[in-house]
Amino acid sequence: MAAGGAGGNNKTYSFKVVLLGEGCVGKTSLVLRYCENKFNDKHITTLQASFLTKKLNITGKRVNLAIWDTAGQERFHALGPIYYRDSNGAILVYDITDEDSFQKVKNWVKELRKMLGNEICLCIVGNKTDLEKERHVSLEEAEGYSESVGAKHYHTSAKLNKGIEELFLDLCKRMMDTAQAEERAKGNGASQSGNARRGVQIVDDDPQAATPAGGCCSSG
Amino acid sequence: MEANSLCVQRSLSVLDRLLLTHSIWLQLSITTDSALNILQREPVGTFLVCKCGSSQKKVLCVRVSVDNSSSAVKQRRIREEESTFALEGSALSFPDLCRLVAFYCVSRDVLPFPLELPETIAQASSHTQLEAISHLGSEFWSSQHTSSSSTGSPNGPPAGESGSGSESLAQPTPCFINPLFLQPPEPPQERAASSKRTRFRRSLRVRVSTETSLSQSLGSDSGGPEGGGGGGRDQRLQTNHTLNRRSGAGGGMLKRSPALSPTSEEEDDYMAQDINSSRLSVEQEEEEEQEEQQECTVEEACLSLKTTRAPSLAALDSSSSFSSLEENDDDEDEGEGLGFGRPRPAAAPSSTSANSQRPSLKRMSAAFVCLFAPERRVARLVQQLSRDPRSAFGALVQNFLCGKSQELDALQSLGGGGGAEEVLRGLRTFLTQAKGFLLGSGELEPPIETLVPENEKDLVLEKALYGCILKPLWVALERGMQAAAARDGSLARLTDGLRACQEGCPRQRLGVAAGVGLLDAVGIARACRKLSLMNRTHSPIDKVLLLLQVCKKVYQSLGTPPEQEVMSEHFLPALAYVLVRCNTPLLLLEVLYMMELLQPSWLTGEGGYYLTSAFASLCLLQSQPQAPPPGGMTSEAQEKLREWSRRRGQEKDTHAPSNQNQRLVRVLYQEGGQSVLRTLQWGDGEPASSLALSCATAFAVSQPNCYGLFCRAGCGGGEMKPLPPHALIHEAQAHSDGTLPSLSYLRVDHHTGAVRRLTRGGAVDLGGSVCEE
Repeated sequence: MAAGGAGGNNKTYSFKVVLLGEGCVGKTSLVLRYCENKFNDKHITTLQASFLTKKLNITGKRVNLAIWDTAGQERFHALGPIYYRDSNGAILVYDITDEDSFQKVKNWVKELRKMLGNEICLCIVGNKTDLEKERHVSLEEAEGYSESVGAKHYHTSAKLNKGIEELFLDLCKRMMDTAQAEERAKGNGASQSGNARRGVQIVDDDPQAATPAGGCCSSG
Repeated sequence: MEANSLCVQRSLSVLDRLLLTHSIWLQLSITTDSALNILQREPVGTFLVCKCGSSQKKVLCVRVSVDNSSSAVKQRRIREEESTFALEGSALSFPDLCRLVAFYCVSRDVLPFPLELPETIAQASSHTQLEAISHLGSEFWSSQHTSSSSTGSPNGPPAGESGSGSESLAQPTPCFINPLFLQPPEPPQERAASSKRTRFRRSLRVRVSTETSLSQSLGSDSGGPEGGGGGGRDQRLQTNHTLNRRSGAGGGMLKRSPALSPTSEEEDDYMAQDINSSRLSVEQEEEEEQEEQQECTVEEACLSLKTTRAPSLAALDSSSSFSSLEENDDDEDEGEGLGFGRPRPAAAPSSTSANSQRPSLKRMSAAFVCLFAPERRVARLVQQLSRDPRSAFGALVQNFLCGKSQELDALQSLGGGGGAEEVLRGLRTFLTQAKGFLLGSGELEPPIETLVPENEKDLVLEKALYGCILKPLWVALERGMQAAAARDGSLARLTDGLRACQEGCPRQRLGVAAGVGLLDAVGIARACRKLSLMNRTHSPIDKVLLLLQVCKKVYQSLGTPPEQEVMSEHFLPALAYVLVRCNTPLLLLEVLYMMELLQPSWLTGEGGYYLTSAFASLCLLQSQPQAPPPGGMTSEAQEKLREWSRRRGQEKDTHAPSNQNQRLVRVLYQEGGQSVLRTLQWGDGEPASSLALSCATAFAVSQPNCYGLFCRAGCGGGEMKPLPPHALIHEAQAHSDGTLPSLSYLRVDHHTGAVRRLTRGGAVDLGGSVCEE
């Protein structure tokens, strides 16, 4: 790792984002679309679909996203904490045609806030806007709820590739803000209180993340 | 160079000179501005490698013209990619920085003219002299160019002032590689008991053997038996003789990228390129053509080699396990799925057919690749250092290992509250600290910065540390962990859970959806083999790589499920299914081992994801009997997890400051013709007198009161002043600019007698007379 030095520009942010949501809401298509720009109604087999990475450059800062997909079945709900610990952001996906999936998102929000507090950036995503006609979750309700829990609401269609770039870009910016605020708090010598639980990982040219040469983070 | 000095200089190649004096030309702690200042006082052709302040990239700075403007110094960035070093704008890349510089000392390529070694270094005629010069470090540049003694020396041409030197240097040189490194065997060296030097020799020997085996694998006529033991240098020189076509060491390492253009996913193939390039570096075009054929076979051999072996697994010690891993990987590595970049060989599908046909060639070059890879070189150097109790790093590691093995015995027999996790946690903390310590101590020779690109440094070091810390402890560690897991019942729970699953219908119990493909019997057998291989390696990274291979197979078996949502929904149950079928409860310990010992940054990566999935599966299986479907995790497991994640957070926080608190100082000891540089530790607020005591022990002097610590007054060139006994160390080194501070430990009487000015020439003399007065 390069010694920090004069490196404001040199810094690479590494964020972990966990994807939560019920089985058929289209979480996986969402990330696949984002990371590989692939969408297939029949879902071609893609290796590593559960773990994907994306590199971004936001206002001159490099960001490495590691996106953790999870199994949505109820039976695996209890395994959630294993996956979402240490996350900087969570994307909670529901299907706008499926009221139950929205209820599920609410449960996740409750749990995440309880376990991780306000450190984690939450995004609530209504997917499948291409099926607007069959909508069962009203826009007002979803947006109202999101606001009430300090989350941001987005609309996407993985099929039409709509709203996805915006979602991730926005999330990244928010995570960077949080990370920078944390940095400042540390820099001010505020005796390291709080957030030891989820140390934001700021690495300088981390070998795993910055280059494909670095071991196990590269993926396609 | 003058004819009369040639005979003396011949014994040391440019590469040797560079290796021994990297502390002079490699100034990574200074900025390009300071480099500019330094070089403006130096003759044309003088160079430095430093770091650009804003980009943190290495830069080669060369004085190019006589005038004193800022344009008199040219800067060229050094590209560090795919384990190689190259000057920006040049197509030539090199396996390490020293070789790059050595090449540009001979050939200009993209530079206006070749680089010039500082005269004192170019003129030095022995290792001892070069070592003495290297002790000056950055002070070399502020010291005087010449001293009365050096002008009087028989070989010394007139002192090189900037004006006179430039005329001859500025002449452009045709761009080709001279057989510069071709030199007759040197006369036997006198052996001084300098640990630094012995380490150096060893590092030279590594190079020797690689070159020798290179010649063998090329089917060239000589080489002689490979020299494992002493006399390495001589042998190397002989080798160069026989391989004079290949222009020796520097040229032999060259590669010409365009001709060899690696495909993007072939990151690890620089070995192959080295072999190719060793011939490509030969000047004549027609020779290139002639060798086209030969090149092919060697390349193929090399590729086949790589496809059969994951280099990281090569770290396994016993040859038996090595070969078994090789077999197993034969058919599984095609296609490269899980993208573990560097540590994996890039498998070229086309070459898989070749590997079965050339077993002998494969075996031969396997050894050669091991020795050659930069990663292995670093591992070797670190290992040697860690075993040398006289080095600060070695002492640290040996101490730790001693304490740990006792702790592990205790864990096995009785076991305390924290048990295995506590031990593992301690290990991880130490790994991190030792890494920082090693970098801070500057004891690695040559410095790691010259061996691997900046972005690979951390990973390479991490692996090297596994070798010297985890490897010796690992067997006892596994035993201890097993005992602990037996005591706390987790192992029994998992065993029960696995059995329960097998008795029922695992598919149903685990909730594998209908239509989802699972591994067949052959696949399961293969996965079992992979999992059982985990306990043959001490490296958490290698273990994760094995796990990733299993996960990849699980993915492949899933096929295309009929439903909409794919992988993540079905992967976890499918993985759990494989674990049930494999029925290896001890996997629990492996997972724990990986989770605790992997670097935190790995845990958010792909390895971390699949490790998490394995952990989740095991949790699922442990909780199966009590609460079938929605059970998920036991509260115990949740608690463990929370604690674990908290620790990780803490580690990240404490990580950085602990490095800064390191108190290290380099002490140069000179006595009777020998000089030893040693890195020592000291405590906060420790006075000079107590550091002097540790020096007495470290350098094994019989009369400690005849010796004292000295520091140089002012930056560079100043007189040596004794350090008052009560002086605090950190005050004495206040002026040091980010580099490791250095003091000298000398005879008190000697010093007061002959006060020397620090001069480059004087430094050379150190080895000879001065200390004996």
